[in-house]
Amino acid sequence: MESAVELVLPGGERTVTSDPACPLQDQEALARWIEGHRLFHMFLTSMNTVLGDILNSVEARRWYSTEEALCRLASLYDAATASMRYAAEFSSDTYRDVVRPSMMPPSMPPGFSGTLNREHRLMVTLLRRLAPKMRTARAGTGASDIPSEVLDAWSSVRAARRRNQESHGLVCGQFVPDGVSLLQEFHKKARRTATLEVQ
Amino acid sequence: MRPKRKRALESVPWKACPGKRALESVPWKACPGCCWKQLHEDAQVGQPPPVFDLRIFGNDLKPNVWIPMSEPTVEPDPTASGSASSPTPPALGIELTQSGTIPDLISEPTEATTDTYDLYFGLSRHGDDLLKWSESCSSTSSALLDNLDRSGLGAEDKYAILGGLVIVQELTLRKWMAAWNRRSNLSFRAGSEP
Repeated sequence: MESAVELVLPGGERTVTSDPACPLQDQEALARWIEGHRLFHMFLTSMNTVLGDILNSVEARRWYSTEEALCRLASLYDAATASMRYAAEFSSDTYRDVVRPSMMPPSMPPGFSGTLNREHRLMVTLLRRLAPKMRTARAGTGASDIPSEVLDAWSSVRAARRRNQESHGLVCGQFVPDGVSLLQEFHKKARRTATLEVQ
Repeated sequence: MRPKRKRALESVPWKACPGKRALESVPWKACPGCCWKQLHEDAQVGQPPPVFDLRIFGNDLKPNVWIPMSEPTVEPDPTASGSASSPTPPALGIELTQSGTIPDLISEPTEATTDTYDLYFGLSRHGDDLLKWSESCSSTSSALLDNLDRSGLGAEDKYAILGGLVIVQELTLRKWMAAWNRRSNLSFRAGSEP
């Protein structure tokens, strides 16, 4: 069965009614936003697949496979980072006036956020599972036979992760100068409503 | 050759004509003069609406299910014998309440969920099928290749994206080979049975 939100469209009520000419620039920004995110999901899905392989190969102490997969993971991480830059390649005015409203009521239910991305959640979970195993390996405790190439490849994954976090911070800073995301805004409003009801 | 700009716009779900209106409630042709017009007209003449969903698989946390392992599904042949047409349920049912009476309230908009997110970006999770995943990869890559040159990304970012695409394709090809080998082995074993 189709959910109720199926009726709510990206684009936003404001642009629906106020501008029959529908500037092509705005359409392209939204199209890019969506296309870039699909690309991002394609990379995340592949990262999750590779992470599953890495967890298995570490468990089985297949170091050549582990190293190869870690190198691919680092490349996919960088690709995911670049895909988000690709998705967000428009002005902060376009984000404020076109893209952000398309993710807000009445176009979407309140609280829309990147934290609703299932593939990203899974990726974080798998990375958290892998990190302690690699930390143990780096410390050389009980895993002294791990080749240095594997540890180097793990370092390149961590470096890609840092680059991703830095890039994400820059994009957020560019588009949301006050630093308040739609999700934070939603929770702030919910808290305010709850307080008023109590009073 | 199809103009690149139109191609870029096609990658958005058909229902999500950006900056326009809810297509369910307004005739497609009423969408005033945007690049979506042709798509709407295609739908108008009885073609199924174009679907450009990226298909994502596996919602649980078990490893090795994210890219589907299953072999491509085969559509049933409607002309095959024994496929007598069975009545299909109506597409739209009726919304009833727990109390059995007409409701008094209008429900407040609920909080966004992962389904909302999927809907917004046109992500579909309707089946673990390697063929569907591959089709999605192909259409997503194709849209990207049409637009990447026009983007303002630096060479390093373009390299990263293209490198990522190669890895996605490599992983997908490996899944195809594994699926093919599994199928071949099964056929071989079936053939060698006494």
